[in-house]
Amino acid sequence: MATPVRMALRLAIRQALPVLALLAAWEVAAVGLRIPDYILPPPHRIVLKFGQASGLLWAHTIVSVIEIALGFLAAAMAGFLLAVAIAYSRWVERLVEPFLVVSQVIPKVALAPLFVIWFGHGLMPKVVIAATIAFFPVLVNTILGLKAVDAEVVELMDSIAATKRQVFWKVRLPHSLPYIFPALKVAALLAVVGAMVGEFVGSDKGLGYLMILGDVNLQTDLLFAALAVVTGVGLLLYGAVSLLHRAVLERFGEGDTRQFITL
Amino acid sequence: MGIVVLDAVTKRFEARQRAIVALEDLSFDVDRGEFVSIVGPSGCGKSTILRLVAGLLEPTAGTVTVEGRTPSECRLARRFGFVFQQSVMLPWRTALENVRLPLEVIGTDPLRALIPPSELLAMVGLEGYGTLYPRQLSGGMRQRVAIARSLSFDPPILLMDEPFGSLDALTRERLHALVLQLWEANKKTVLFITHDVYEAIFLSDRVIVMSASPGRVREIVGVDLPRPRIDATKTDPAYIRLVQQTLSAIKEQ
Repeated sequence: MATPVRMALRLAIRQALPVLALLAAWEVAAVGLRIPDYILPPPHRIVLKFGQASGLLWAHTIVSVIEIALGFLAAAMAGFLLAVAIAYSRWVERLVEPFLVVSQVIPKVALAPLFVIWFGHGLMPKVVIAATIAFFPVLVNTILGLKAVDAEVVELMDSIAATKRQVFWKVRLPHSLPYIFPALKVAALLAVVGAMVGEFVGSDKGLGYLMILGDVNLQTDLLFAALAVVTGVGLLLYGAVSLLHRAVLERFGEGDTRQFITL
Repeated sequence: MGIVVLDAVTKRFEARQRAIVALEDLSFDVDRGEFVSIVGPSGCGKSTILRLVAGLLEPTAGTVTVEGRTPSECRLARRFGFVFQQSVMLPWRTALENVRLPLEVIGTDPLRALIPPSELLAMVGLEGYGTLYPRQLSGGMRQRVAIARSLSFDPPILLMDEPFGSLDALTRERLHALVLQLWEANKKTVLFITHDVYEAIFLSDRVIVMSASPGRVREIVGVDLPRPRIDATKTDPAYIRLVQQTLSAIKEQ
């Protein structure tokens, strides 16, 4: 029996093998070629670092996780709500449209120093940067999902004099879910990037700060350890959203949307 | 006086700079309880007629009257059951939940519906299929669900827009029998769009033959074949004569 758990396990093993092979090659190269630790520490040094610096890593991980989670949630909510407003009001659409294009072109990473000036060095600027970077795909896909409803479905609802609200809750919202979730997966990854950028620019806490610290002190093993944790956090968030996405596709997907990439 | 009356109806669509005349000076009536089909080549505005009758579109000129009121008033009073060429299912709802959709929209307790949704499914031959999702049903089954849905709130007028256009011949024949049986049992008024002349003659009391671009009434064919219509009807010389007459009316243009 190919239970979901067993399938997930098999997938994990299949994907872990190449990674393990890479780590092994890295270990051999770093040790064999005598690459100095401050340039490229062998993986076992990084693993050791987890043990030595576990308290430090843990404390900074919590900070980053909160930033990432809040940034992600803010992006998801803002993206969704603005999309609804745009899909339902020509007025809002016309008002917001030019800004959307410009905001897409502006490298949001470059805004990070500005957010630090505005919001200080605490939690706020990181959440704002993470949300700013992660918000756009949610917005675009939600608009697409809300608007891509078949004209005949809307005619059917109109023919029985359904209210706009009923069309939204019974048709447009469920229809848009298979469009929203792939965007949320991208947003999850972008929120991680945003939080790290925020920490790079101005912070004394968080995994991004730890990476900078490792960098300036030539503690490259600390840098790699922090990087590994960030990657893990990103994977967990991505995996969680992916699971939700699958469940949503199972129930709400049809035709094209059922073929959305389900990494 | 007909229950559906179109009087000198013209419908123009503005597309870019040029206006497309979909319907021009169209007049006909449908009586209460009558089964009327509209046939014509594609692009003759057949579907537009249904949308005008349902109050989903406004005529450019002329008037549409339904039950002595405007189409929009009738739509708000939920007088129309609509069946489309595609079944237009909500894929996240089961067959039964799709049938129930209009009741939810209207706010009728399904338990108090004239015919409960599950019974409607049985009437269209889908007893025991209520918990399946549309993707688990064949095209013909989905169209049966769509028919059950259109009947769920017991509207007096059924508007059917090429409902069997994408089905295979055998499934189509079965659904003809079903629609006639439901129509005879429930005394609905049916306005049925099709491009299939055989289907139109077999089902209808009258067939309105349209010409294309702009759409006009070319001929109205009265079908005085006995009811109930059965398989034997299709070999009836009178049936064949009516089909030939209608086909030649279409080809003349």
